Amino acid sequence: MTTSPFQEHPENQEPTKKTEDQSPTPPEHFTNPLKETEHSETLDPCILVIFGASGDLTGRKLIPAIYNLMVENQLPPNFVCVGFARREKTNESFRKELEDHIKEFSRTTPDEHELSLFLDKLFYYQSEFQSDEGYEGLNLFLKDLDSKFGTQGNRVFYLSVQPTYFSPIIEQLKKHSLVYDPSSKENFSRVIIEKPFGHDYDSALNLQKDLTKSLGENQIYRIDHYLGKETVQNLLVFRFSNSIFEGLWNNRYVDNIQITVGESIGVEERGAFYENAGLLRDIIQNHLMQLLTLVTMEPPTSLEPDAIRQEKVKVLEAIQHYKPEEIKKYALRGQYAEGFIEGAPVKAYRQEDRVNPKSNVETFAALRLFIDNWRWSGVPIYIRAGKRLPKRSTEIVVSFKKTPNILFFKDKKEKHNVPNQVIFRIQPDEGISIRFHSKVPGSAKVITPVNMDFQYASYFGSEVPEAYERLIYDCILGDNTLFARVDESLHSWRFLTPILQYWDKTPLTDEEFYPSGTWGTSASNSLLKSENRQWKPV
Amino acid sequence: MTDITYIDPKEIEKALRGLRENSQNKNVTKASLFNLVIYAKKDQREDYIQKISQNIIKKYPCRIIFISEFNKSEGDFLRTYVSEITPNEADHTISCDIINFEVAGSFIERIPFVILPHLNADRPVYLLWGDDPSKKNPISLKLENYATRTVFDSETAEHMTDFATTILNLHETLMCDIGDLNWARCAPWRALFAQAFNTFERFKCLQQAKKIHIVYNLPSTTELSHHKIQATYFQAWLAVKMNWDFDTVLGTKEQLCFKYHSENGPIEILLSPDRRENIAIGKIISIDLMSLNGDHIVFDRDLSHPHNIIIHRSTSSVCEIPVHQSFDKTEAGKSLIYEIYSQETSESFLKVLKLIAKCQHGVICSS
Repeated sequence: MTTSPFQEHPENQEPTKKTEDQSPTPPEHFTNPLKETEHSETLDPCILVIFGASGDLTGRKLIPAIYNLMVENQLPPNFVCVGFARREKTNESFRKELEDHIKEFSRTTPDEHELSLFLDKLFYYQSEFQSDEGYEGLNLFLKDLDSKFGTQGNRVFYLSVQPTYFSPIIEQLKKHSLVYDPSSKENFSRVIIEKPFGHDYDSALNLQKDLTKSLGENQIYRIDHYLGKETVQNLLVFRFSNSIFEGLWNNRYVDNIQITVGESIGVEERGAFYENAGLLRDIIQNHLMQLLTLVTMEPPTSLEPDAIRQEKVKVLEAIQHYKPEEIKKYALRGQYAEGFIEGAPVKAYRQEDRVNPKSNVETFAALRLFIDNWRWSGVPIYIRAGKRLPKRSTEIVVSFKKTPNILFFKDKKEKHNVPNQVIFRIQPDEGISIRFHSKVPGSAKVITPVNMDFQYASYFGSEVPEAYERLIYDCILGDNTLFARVDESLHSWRFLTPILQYWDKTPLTDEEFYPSGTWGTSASNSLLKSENRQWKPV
Repeated sequence: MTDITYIDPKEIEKALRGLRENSQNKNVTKASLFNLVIYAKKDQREDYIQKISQNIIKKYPCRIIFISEFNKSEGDFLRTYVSEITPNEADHTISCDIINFEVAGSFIERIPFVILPHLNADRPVYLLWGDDPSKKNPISLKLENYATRTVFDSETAEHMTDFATTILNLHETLMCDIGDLNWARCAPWRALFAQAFNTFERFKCLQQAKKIHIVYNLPSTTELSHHKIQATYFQAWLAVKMNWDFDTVLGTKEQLCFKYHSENGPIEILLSPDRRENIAIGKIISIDLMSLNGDHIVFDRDLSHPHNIIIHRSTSSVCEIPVHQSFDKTEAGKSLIYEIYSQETSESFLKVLKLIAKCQHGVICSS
């Protein structure tokens, strides 16, 4: 321990006057006066416990994210991370394993010294997920860490496990007093849940009932890593801090909105998961519906988490549900067949490991939907997502109505009058483009569309934090703005469950298989073509 | 610097266009998030400020207008040259303009007129004033009036109390926001304290503080005289935040003892130097806090990794395992970036200046 200069001069020391009974009692709400402003963020000490610490997500994403938080001074000084899993491991072997993962997956190059400091904060606890004894031991283990590291009893539990374990783990946490009363002022306990939140509407509702037996809604953090992306957070800033766009953001000026989430990879090792999930559950129910709400919601009354989430819920509530006969027409699916990605041949979905050779699961979906509210009534919203598409790309395109063909396009084909567009590139090559017409210099009447382009990397450098960094930080801070509220999830399921039910009972047709490396089924192109539109090329 | 070609000020934009046209890489985008106007006296803080401006441009492309004032004895002149810089050496797709003015004697008065046409009109203007603001300067007020924010360098101040008084007066009269590099430099310590005392239990220890010892870095060779500013700012910030009443300050050139009163009794804050060659001059090395009830917290930089702070807390009943907190690895220019992107004049900064202005003239940080 460092020697205090005051201790070197005992004659300077006054006798210790304070005793336990003289200690001030904690106020109802402690406000830290050292914070620079009311909005400055300070984090309370805490222990983060990751369930499923041997899993892929922990090694690839969570631990590198926590490491980067530490490096960037975004963790409380009194912080410890405990991995909880079933496999036999020691602290040392756990640390070694994660050290390798950090070196491989961290967005910043690890510094040996910082890495060793970080690894000192990692501990491993082995137990089955449903063992009473295990949770009793965990409680004692965490209390011991509290006394050693000053983490003061605060807990964040990250459930990076199969959804079937969500309810049993939370039940055990409650049973062994590892989660506290939601109204506790002294300590906090929060639980982060990975997607999928339920399998359909009924299962999501049941899961919610299970969770609320042990937790308050303010303790549940349903993570959707898309919401942690800078580009997604910027949607609200773009819309509500710039006056030039908001006036046009409605059915008077917007012709249609398109959202594309494309991945060039197949299901890889997730064949078994995909067989139970499919693309609608994996991407559309969560990521894509979140993007939809952010691009179409009304301005919130404040930036408080609930004010924002309230507006998102209103959008989800307003989505026009399909009549049974409309599902076939407007909710299209597909499954990837053999094809080529970047010139290399790739397998069909049905040939992937742990996939039923007669699988009926969708790996592509394209939907047309409407939001029945004052702002968006009559504006079609086209969404599509898929695996084994030509490239990884997530984009939102807001297309504006065309000008009348009276002046510049009078004698030209309709296709020359391309619409103005605002294009949000969520990933990769994050940025925003605005497409408008310009006269080609010199030529008398030649008009061409040009792009005005903003790229994050050019303006702010390429060191954009990973989504998980922001989300874990926010959870420790207690800010749940970027986490889905239960009603968001339930409304999304309510809209999508009939589609899933229809697809479950309807076998895939030949036309619903698309070659890998193409933009999905031809029906998805026809859907727009029949309405005199087309997907914006990605 | 090599091959400087001086140009007539009216040729500035043309010369910049020429640089672009002659560039090997034609596919370059000119970028400027803001205008950064820098004033420095030749052979004083100029080299240091040049260095930090290069670091800023790496992270945030901007148009730099650098005014370097030469000694009056060199005569009357105004020389101009332009250059271009590629912020990211790995990616040559972005470039930024630098317009340099070397000026001496009465020609200094032309500077506000010469630079005005070259400020990117729709971008904010940040002024880094690398001279003592309490000294009269014919162009300071004119430039400050163009600025969105003026950042001073208290390192240049002759007397800290005069500096504090001048800045407080400027705050009353200027339209722009105000900052100081040294205030920004101790921001990580302020954030660390806010973090470390974020719970009531921890905060109690600070409330009952009786002695605080702040050690700052004073390497063997230093040309600077104001090595105590960051520590002085920090202790004043703590006193302001804790509502401690200032009593007096006593000291020598290297040591200072600030005395305050709180509702729990008198508090002494001692500032003393130590020597660490691996961190910048004036940076705080450690803070040691003793409270009335025997709680003891030490914040100390790791010897070999100075951006890591080891925090060790012990009470009469508990001795915790030391924990670590990392500061961002220090790089010149970071403080300026912090100041540039701070939105308003910090209320805490103004309160700290008021406290410093109350101190006896010449006791703290005078050349």
